[in-house]
Amino acid sequence: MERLDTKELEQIISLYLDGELEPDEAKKFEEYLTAYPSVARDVEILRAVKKTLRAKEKLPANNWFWLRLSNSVESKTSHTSLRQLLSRPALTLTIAGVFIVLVSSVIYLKDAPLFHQFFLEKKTQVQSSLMSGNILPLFSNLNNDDVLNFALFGTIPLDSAHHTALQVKNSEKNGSQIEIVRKESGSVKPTVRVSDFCTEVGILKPQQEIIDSILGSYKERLLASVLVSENKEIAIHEQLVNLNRAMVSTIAASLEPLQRTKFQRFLEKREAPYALVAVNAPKMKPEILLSAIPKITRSNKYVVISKDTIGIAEMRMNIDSLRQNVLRRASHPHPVATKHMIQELAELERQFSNTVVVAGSNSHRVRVFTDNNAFKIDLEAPSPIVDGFELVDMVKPRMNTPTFLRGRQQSVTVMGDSGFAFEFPADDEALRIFRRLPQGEFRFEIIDSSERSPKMKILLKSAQNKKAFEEKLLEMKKREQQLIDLDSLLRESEQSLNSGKPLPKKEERKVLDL
Amino acid sequence: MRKTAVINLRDAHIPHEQKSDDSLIMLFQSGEKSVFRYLVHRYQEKVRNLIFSIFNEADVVDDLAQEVFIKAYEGLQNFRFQSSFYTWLYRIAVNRSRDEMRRRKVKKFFTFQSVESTTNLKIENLMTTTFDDEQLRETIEQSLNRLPEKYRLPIILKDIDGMSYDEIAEVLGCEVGTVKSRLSRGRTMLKEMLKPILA
Repeated sequence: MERLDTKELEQIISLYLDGELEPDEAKKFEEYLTAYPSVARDVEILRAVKKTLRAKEKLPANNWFWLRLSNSVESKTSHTSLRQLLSRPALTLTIAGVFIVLVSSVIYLKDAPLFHQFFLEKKTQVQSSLMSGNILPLFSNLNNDDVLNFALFGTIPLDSAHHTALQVKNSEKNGSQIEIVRKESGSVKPTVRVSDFCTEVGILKPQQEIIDSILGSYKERLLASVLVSENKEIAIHEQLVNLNRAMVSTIAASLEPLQRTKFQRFLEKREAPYALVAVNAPKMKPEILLSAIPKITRSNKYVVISKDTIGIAEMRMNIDSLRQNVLRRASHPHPVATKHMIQELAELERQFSNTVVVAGSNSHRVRVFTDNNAFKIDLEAPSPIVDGFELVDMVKPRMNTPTFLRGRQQSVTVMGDSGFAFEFPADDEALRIFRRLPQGEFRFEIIDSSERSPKMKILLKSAQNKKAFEEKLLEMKKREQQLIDLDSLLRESEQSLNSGKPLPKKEERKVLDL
Repeated sequence: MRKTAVINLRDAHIPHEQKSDDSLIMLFQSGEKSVFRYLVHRYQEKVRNLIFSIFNEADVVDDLAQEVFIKAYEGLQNFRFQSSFYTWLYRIAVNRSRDEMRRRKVKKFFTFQSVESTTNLKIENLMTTTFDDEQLRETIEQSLNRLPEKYRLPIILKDIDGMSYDEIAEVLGCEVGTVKSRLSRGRTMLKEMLKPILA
């Protein structure tokens, strides 16, 4: 068989490898390869190359591609189209005329940036969505009782029977979470009314107006915190998870120290997730309080959930326009929205295989969990309290009660993470003991000044102390030793310090049963 | 090759996700710009991986792919159905990648960097070692990157993306015969580079 010309051979090898030779040509070439083993080796090398390239590893999918692209497309096309229009003189006059007409409906245009980013769709569609009221706040029908319940428990009911609720949770251990919780019978959380709160905390009439104003202001925040659309998108303000903490802080700041003590008990009694930590701080003036409530700003970050995307998007917000949308629409979006959220998130979970997904910067992570009835979103929140909150943070997350103490809650009260607390009858002897506790490690205060049953409370100041104390209690439990003899310990250390002599034999013990 | 876009009326009842590229483009051109997202979802990973194959750098992929789709969005109104959307999009991606390669060449010229020499060094080192699959893959990819662009692109489109000669010709804007000759020339060059290692 005659040897082929180099260039011709190169071409035939290439066609052969691509399967482009006719069957008889391929057969003939295979005979040629048998006759020329060096060419056959070249073919094998190229076959290996082709096979390796075909199996080239693919990049991991980018789930945020569309979210980023849509923003770029939107901003680019809006600039371009305006430029194009203005470059045509005939149209400029028309635009000027139309502009005058549009001024009268400027309210709609105000919302355009929000919807551009929210729907990530073309401008005209976005504006038509706005006109037909397609975007609605999920929480548009809240009353002050609902707002107070959200402040205290982080829960907002999604149905009138309170079987389904949106719940936010925020703890140092588990981070921030937004959940839809369901209960087949009964309500999802204890509910309180503002009137109960006022009675139990001893709120006076003028104060009640301030409380109403506080709740009203936060109602605005909640209105803009969860948005839903008929196009199945949901946007949740990333700081919704911290909002109830800010609310409890604001309410607490409006109270007198004694009322705060009662508020503390009110929270404890209902196992609210937060506890007060600055009970003795001075009462704040109402005007300062109300101005310090974090407002929805022009630019806000939302967790946006759509059928195929979950991410964090910057959106502009106009409360007035949202409210107008609510007025334009008669029916309430709750049932539809909840159903959609669960369906959409179930789909998202399937797509993302329950993996952590990151949007924009590394400082925001969102994780979604779902089952048939509920879903949970874990957020890596950027700050422990709402941005723009200008008051002292007066609350801390309540600590879980250690298991072995649960039966003893009459005498032991567990508070926030810096307020692991024990309550004692505040008799003279106990007061004497606790006033002598080393400063800096423990703090105590009388929490009820009534003469009948004064109580006092010991607070451990840091998480480390709390942990050490828990360990000590666990250790004691193991040894079946249920008593702590604080008094004798203190006396011993005092005597030792005063005399420099060896410690005398214990004569008297004040035993505190924990 | 001229192609006529026909939209089946029954398409109206099909969800957008399942509509053909041509149907989606017709909807786009009739004003329903939001359908662009379905085209993006359909092809974003293909475009990203094409760019990754060309540059072998994950860092540049998303920025370039975004630019490709922005260009596609801007040009889709004038799409004339003379080729498939897929090859049209690939053509945009290849052209954008060529621009980037040219930009890099200029940059390299002014910064006196020699990528060539470092690549050579790596391959020479590998020649003395025993190969596992991973090393083989890396060596082949490095060798491919050393090919001139006009030989490299047809190999990427053919061997990595599995395109036909006609499609490659459309993407690269050249004749099918040119594609065939560049493929055979490029492969020969690759073979020459790899022969000392693989033979």
